[in-house]
Amino acid sequence: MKRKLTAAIGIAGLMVSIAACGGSSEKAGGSGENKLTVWLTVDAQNNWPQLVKDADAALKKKHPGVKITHEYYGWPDKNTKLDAVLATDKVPDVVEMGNTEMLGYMVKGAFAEVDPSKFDHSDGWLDGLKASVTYDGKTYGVPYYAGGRVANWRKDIAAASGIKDTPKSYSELLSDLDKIQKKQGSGFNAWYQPTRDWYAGMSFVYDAGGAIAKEQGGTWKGTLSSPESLKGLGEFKKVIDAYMHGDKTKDESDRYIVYGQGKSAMIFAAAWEGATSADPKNDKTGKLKDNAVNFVMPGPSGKNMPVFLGGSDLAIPVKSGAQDLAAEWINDFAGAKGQKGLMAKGNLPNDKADLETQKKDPATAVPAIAAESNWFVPMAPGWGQVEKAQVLQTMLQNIGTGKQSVEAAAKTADAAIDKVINNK
Amino acid sequence: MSAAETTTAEVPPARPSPPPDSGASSGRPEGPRRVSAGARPGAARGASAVPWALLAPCLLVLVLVLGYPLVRLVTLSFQEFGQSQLWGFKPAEPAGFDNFSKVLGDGEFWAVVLRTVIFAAGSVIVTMVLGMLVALVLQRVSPWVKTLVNIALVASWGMPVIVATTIYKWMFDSDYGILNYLLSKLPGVDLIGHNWFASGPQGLAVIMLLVVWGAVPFVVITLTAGLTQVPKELEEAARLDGAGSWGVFRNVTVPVLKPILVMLTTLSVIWDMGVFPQVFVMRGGHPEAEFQLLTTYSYDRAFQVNDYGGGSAIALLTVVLLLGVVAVYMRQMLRIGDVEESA
Repeated sequence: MKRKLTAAIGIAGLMVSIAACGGSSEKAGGSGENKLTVWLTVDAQNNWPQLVKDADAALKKKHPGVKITHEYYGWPDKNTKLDAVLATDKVPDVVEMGNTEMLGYMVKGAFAEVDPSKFDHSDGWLDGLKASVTYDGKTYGVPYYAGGRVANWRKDIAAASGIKDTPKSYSELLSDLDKIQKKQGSGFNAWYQPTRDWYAGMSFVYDAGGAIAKEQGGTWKGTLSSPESLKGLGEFKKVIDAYMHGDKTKDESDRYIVYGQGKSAMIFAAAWEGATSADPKNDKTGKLKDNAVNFVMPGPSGKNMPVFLGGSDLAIPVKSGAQDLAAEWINDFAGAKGQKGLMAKGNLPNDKADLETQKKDPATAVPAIAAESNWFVPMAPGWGQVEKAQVLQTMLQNIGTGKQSVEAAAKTADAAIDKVINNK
Repeated sequence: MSAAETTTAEVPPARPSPPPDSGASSGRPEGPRRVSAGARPGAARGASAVPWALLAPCLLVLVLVLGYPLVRLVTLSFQEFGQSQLWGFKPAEPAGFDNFSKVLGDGEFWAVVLRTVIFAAGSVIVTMVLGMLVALVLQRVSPWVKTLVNIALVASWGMPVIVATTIYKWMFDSDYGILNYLLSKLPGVDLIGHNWFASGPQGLAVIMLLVVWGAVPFVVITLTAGLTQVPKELEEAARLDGAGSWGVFRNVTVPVLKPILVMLTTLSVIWDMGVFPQVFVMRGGHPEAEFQLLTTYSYDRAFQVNDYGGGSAIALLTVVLLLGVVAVYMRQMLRIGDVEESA
């Protein structure tokens, strides 16, 4: 009997080793010398695929035979995937990071240091973006583009209510929206403002002089329940209550699609969203094409609304086997030539010189001027966790749906922020 | 419970049957299972090591496939394990019971436990009652209707859970959902623009509906099979003794079906405690606090906040809780069975 048992175990062992063989032969499939895996977000895939192709072509010209693989990810689950992959040997060679996401990864040493002198415009990178790729005096990424935020409304709908020009002040804006809302009825969004869109919500907070969190003596604390922050959140709630009649549990990811459906008169969004809504693919009524106009968002404080200066950086994971090749591709993609293409799509460039030109050109002036008044997330070690735990989104949703009072929601959010914001 | 899960679970039904056989061996009513029960001792008598030898490869694979993750889960839950450890930049530090005491000391965890238990209990009860009703109705309808219903059941069973969830999401959409539109056609009801997911209990009720919808087919099909095994003579005898439909159902049908019912309920408890994609997809990948069940909560801890140790601790506690629920339930059902059979 014993012999049979041993035989059985032997067979089992054989099976296991065969399985193991299959695994190891696959391992060579990861990025090696002549292979490049590039992770970008779907923004590039949907809005500027040509730039990706151009960068590939440029790199292939210099390095014939190089194989470039592209993978595209949505913002919400990108980092979960990245976290898992960084633990293996099959890491991507280039990865797009939101500028608010960089810090947590730099602190832990996930990205390779890069030499700024190898990249176009590196001496003129926008301050906000430059700060987001710098940790401990070293550079761990390359600014890709910045995203300004602007208001965009429908000229035709405004005109139907007797409004000729885009509003110059906040009170003008509100009175225009009131007219539009009255004219179009309650099923219509005079301002389609997704409740969970924290970039807009926090603009109100910073406009009122508040902040998400502040540092004191080396530790960070949430300050959403400060009187100033509460004032901004209260104003946000007023806007939602008055003009937003859609689903109050949604975020901003499909805003350009909803806007394209024609039942909204205005959005306050990333600069490219207005143009993308007017794209025939999304413009379901055909009316946005000639009627959607950008304007600088006025803030309740009387100044221009401070906008979130978002943006993306490109980083090279420290475990990548093709770091030099990756750096070259990044410069082909986000360098001088790439910036022109990105600007044509309504983005802000990654460098100051281009931004100045953009401000002077009437076609691109609105987002460039709007970006002058801006805010950025707290540069706290645990900020990434605050974002991942969707603390601000939950707070805004609870405020918007009326589940919690502004004060209670802000207090809950502060507590949630305090829990993780100092974590390294 | 998902359609996918139910399909793979088609095998287990055979397994739970031996215990009731051996457990309540005396005075059992004559049942078809007798045959298999009688065949077993003969096979076992032959040789003791050969079956083990034959099983060994399979067991080894099982140990590797199921055992490794389990061991990893347990070790993780006793470690401080975050991103740096995941990426290999820092060694994992032993944390003793820190993860557990942190989780157990958190009021939120207990709220999640309570919510999960209520959610699972509700889903199981509704599934079983609905499943039983449909199975009983199926016995009385014409073969035509029976076939049609069976096709519908298999179709809904076969639908991938993500697809089903997305369709439910559309149906319950606050702006464009067909449900709000239809309900508003009723006199005195105005649900246009009503958001089902603005409140946790309402949203979870919708999700429960989805879970039940996915779970009922399996229960119906299994119970239909079980019902064909209820001896007609016993039912007739009960009727002659003056029992009504309810009496026949209670005193004849249920006792005969008991092993199947125990098995189905236990499986349902396990599945419904482990509901994940329905909640996750329905809430767009970010379930609000009020929607967190143990599964999503553990995922949140591990992958949103990158506390893999804490997430593992929650997962492990879920397993322990599940074992507790299932064990208590099984024991109770078996005990009831004993009492009724000896009476």
